[in-house]
Amino acid sequence: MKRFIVKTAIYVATLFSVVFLYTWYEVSLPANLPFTTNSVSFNIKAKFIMEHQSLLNKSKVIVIGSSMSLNNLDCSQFRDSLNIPVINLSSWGMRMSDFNEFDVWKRDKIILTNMNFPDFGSSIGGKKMGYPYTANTLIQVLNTLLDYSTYRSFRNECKDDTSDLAKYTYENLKFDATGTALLSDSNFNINKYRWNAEYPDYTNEQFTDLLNTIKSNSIKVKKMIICFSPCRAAGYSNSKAASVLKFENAVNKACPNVIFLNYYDVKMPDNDFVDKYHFNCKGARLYTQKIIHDLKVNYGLTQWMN
Amino acid sequence: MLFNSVEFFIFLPTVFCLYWFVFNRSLRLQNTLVLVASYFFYGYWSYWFLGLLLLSTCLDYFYAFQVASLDRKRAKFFLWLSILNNLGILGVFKYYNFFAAQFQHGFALVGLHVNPTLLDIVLPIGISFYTFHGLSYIFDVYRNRQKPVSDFVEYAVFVSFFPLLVAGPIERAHHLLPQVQRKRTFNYAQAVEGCRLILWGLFKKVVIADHLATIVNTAFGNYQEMNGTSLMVAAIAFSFQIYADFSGYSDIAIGTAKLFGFEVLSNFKFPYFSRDIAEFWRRWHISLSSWFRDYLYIPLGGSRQGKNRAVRNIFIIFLVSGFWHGASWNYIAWGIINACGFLPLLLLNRNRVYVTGIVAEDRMLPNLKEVLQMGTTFIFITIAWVFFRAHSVLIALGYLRHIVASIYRYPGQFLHVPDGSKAFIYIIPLIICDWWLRRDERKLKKVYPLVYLAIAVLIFYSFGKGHAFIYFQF
Repeated sequence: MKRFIVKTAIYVATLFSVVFLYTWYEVSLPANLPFTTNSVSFNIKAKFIMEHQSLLNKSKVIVIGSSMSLNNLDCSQFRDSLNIPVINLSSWGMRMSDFNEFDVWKRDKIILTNMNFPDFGSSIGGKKMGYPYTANTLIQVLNTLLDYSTYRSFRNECKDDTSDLAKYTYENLKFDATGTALLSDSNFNINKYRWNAEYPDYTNEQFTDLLNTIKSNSIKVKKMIICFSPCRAAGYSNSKAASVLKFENAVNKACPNVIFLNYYDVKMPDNDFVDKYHFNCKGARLYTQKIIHDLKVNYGLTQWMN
Repeated sequence: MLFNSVEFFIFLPTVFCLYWFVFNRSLRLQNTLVLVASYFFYGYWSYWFLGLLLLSTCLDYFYAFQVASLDRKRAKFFLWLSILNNLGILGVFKYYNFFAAQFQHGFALVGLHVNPTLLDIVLPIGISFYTFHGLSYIFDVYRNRQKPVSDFVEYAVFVSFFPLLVAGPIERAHHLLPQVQRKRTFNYAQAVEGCRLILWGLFKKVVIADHLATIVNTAFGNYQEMNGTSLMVAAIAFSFQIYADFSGYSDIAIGTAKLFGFEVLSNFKFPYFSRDIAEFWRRWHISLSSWFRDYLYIPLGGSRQGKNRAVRNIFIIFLVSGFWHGASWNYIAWGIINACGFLPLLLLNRNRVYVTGIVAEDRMLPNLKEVLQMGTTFIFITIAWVFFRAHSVLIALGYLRHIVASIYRYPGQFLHVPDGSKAFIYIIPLIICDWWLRRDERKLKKVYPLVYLAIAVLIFYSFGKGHAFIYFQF
């Protein structure tokens, strides 16, 4: 028995030494990826925030949400047309409640989010580990050891060549100065699998959960703007439109500090999309123009912005 | 709890140390620990279903005494009660919604619309396995091959022994129970062999099956968008994925059992080196095939009561086997296809040609005839697996039709490397290792420790999302 235990211990110790040293070497390579959670998109966004800390502090409009906000809103238009600093903290699969760790719920901030039915399914980017962002190599090594396969996919995605604008597809992880995903105009139906991809269906409980999150957080901020995004005809249904309307009414009734802009019924052509719900660059630009216009004309955006 | 999870690698050494160092003073203590650990292992997934496991165990424990002590007629009554009880649990949790839906469709065909109540319940993991453990015990008691166990803990350990609890191998009472009742002492060679099997099983699951799964899932999820050669590659990849996944699970289960001093039934004997379908079924999921043979095929008369009866029995066995895997028509179609492959061999009296021995037993390489035999068997099995993997018979037929149509329209696609061809990076080493081990599995012993270290490193770096084993759903 003693022999077995000793041999097994030596074996396990050797194994862990090898993998620890190799992982240390790997995360210390020049790319130095901030692998602090198991969400690829969130890690990159965390790195962006780390590098743009002052922008986060001085931004008057903070954009939060999932890829619906990361890709479907062109935040530089907000910044330029209103002449105020804007930051986009969204990343794939993020939910509103995930933003508590960014400390965004403040009285002087306007929170903008965009959503659609994929937000009501399970998290796309995977569940976060909950580590606060840090540049500490040891933490990164430990996180990598805990979830090497995600680290590897993360590293591969970051290695993708996106020097050519045409390659800025949905999957790219490059941001503009506001933190919005860089997308290409020329891409629609870029991926035959993604174009008609199915998303998990929604439930009434998810609407209720979201309503509660909005209710509790909207009172902490200056204003909250919720946009419900249009989708391709293939993703539209009358029953979903009725659900959105019901949700809009519930939000308007329960949250006086929230402006709910329902664009689910707005028809946009297929060549503005990369799949059923996500825009390409052109789609995001047109959609954002519409939001800014509506906010200015119908809600006096410029007045309460100051 | 998954074998390929971090939790299991905390759980296993903890239970191992308690078992050999703390609870080693008496057999009863060791069995109690194994029982508690097994219930923890199962309850870690969902503690609600522990009640079902306990109920099934208690009922069979009680029935076995009645079966053993009463006269034949009344014993038969309790035997049937146990069968009804076990199959009833399976029926409610696994098959009720299927039958209700078929009932609804059947009535809809004649213009009647009924709305049967569907159960909103998940299938308890391992239910098909532990109910078969219970049935095996009752059958053995009824046939006087096993005396009823008086100690409840011993019987409960037999039903719920954690390495075998969720996906087998399906043990027999007369094989495992005596080991539960016998004092176990630590055996160094057995424990080391157990560790080797766990490592090899994890390698098959985490490195091979999980990587093949990505290719297979892409193809089966988007088969209409892909060309014929890519779909062929994915079908082949699935054949190896399910083999690596399930045989990997079995290796881990057998290895884990060895660490606790148990020897359990083997489940796979290099099935893809089979020269015909009959040999394949003697090498694939052996514990289930032999369970059906002993407790269904032979009681039905086997092949001793004329050809017609034998043909009927074969169809019953394969249909039940298909249905055991899932309440869906695609599993039934998979069973029928296998029965159709087996039937010609039965009718020509060639189903027992390859009962013992393995291909190229005294040679390094197979001859041309053997290569052709193995090739045709593999192609047949792979086509049948398409029905197993697809979510419906229509999807399976669409998948196969798409292969044929695509190749007919664009024969030039064979000149290009198909999507998913990196599957062969995982398949070829598996075939080579299996070929090397086919005559004597103990050759694993001869592998240098450094190779095991390399395997462990590969496992570590492939360890990720903890994909569930395919057979957990059955």
